[in-house]
Amino acid sequence: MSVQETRKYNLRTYRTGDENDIISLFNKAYEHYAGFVPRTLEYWTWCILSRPDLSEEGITVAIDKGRVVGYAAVEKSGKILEFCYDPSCEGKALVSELLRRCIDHAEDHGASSVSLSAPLQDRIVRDVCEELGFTEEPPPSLFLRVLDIPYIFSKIADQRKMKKGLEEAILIDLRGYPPWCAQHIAILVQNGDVTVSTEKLERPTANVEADISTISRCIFGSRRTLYKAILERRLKIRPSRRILRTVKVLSMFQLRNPSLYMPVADFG
Amino acid sequence: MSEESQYQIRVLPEKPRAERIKLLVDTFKMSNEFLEWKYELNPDFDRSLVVVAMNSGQVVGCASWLPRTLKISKSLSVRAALGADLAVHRDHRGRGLAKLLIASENTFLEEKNIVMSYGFASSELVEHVHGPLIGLVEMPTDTIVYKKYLNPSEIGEKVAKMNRIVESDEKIKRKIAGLDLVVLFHLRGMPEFTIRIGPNAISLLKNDLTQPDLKVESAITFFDLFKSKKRTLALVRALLTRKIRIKGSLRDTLKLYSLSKLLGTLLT
Repeated sequence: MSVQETRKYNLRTYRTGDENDIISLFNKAYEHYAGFVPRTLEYWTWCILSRPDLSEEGITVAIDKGRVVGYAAVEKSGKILEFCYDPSCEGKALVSELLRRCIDHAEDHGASSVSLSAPLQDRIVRDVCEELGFTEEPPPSLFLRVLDIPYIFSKIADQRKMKKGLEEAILIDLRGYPPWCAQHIAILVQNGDVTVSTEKLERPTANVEADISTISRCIFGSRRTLYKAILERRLKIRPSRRILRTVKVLSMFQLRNPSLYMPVADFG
Repeated sequence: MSEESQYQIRVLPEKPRAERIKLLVDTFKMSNEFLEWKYELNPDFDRSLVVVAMNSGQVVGCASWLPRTLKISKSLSVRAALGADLAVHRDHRGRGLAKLLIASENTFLEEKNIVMSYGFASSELVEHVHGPLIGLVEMPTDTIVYKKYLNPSEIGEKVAKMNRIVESDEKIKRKIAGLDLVVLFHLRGMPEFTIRIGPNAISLLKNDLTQPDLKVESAITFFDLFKSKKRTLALVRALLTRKIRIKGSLRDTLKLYSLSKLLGTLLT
């Protein structure tokens, strides 16, 4: 379907009272992604409404049958800070209308370009951008490190079911962490229950040694990342006969390649 | 006394606040209004996470971390800190001060219940500085930036960036010195523009004023081409499939190809 089709949605400028609908639409649209700040009224008000280069005219909502089904916030400079739409709507027409409005707003303010950061997987946005003559550029590179590994491990363990019958006591010796961070992590797996602590185990079944970069990479990576780190000697497991069982336990604490989407509003 | 110990890194005291703001305004060309919004009005702002480097009672560097809640998987959000606005006064650059400020993260994030720190920077900077110092690792994201140029003023900025590269690279400078090539670009997502390459610099010309030696038309985005590690192969494939068309002599085309790395600055 061409994006030139007739208008289907009622587009209007933001009005006081739209906030909660916008926030819930945004959080719903990106619920399957990670990498962004979940919107709350306080955060959104600061991040969008109070932003100096953004006027209320730059905030557009799309309404369908009295419901907010689309939203875009664009700065006078042409930077689209937030963009989302209800996936249950006919997306192509909606995305096209919202983007055209952003382009008009940027042109009215003399912007030299319009830019939008969107999830790579969003084919509707990609197709519409292609039709509207957008080019693609790389996103800014994201860098991170995990500081409180026991906390993240415990939170992930709370959400996972461990296989019964697996009995392991793993002691992880962390290298290169700030002095105030835990330097040891003990993982006890007993009859399906997992306990994570910062105690030093007396008789671990396996000892793991890794630095801050490796652990950060492994948490956000896949099981392959773990094996790669072992092969490259960045993650050492002793005794070597426990490698397979230890990897099995460590892989339980992985976020398994979450899709990271970063709206510009969070950092730009 | 080592150069590094000339500096005291401390939490931003009330008094030199204006000096820090001036440093940020000078370094990043941010407005006072934007800085006030970003820090003072930010609901998550924590003054103890703004640090300054002092030298003889003057603020000569600063760094800050913005705490927030960050979604790290579909169902898990944690407290994280976004590293922001690292600046060093131009008279104190090249003395290791930026490294001191980056490494101070290990001290200043203590007792803030921060589980993760993250930021956006160039891959080269993180590989050589942030990585070895604090263990930041690059995380591939699922974000893409779509951009539509509304007028050529941004291309003018990119041409200026290319000239800075030419100035700092003797090899490229010598290559340019032997050229006088006028190239018209008709690329997807960009307004048509013409540049003159050589003999002393690269300049943006007004279209239709000069007959171009080469015309480059492309139906794909140049990001697609330049993100590929096998750039030459990608370029040849695009030429064979007529996704890129170059009109002009083979000699001029080869001249242009010899500058493809530099042109990547212009086109991505």
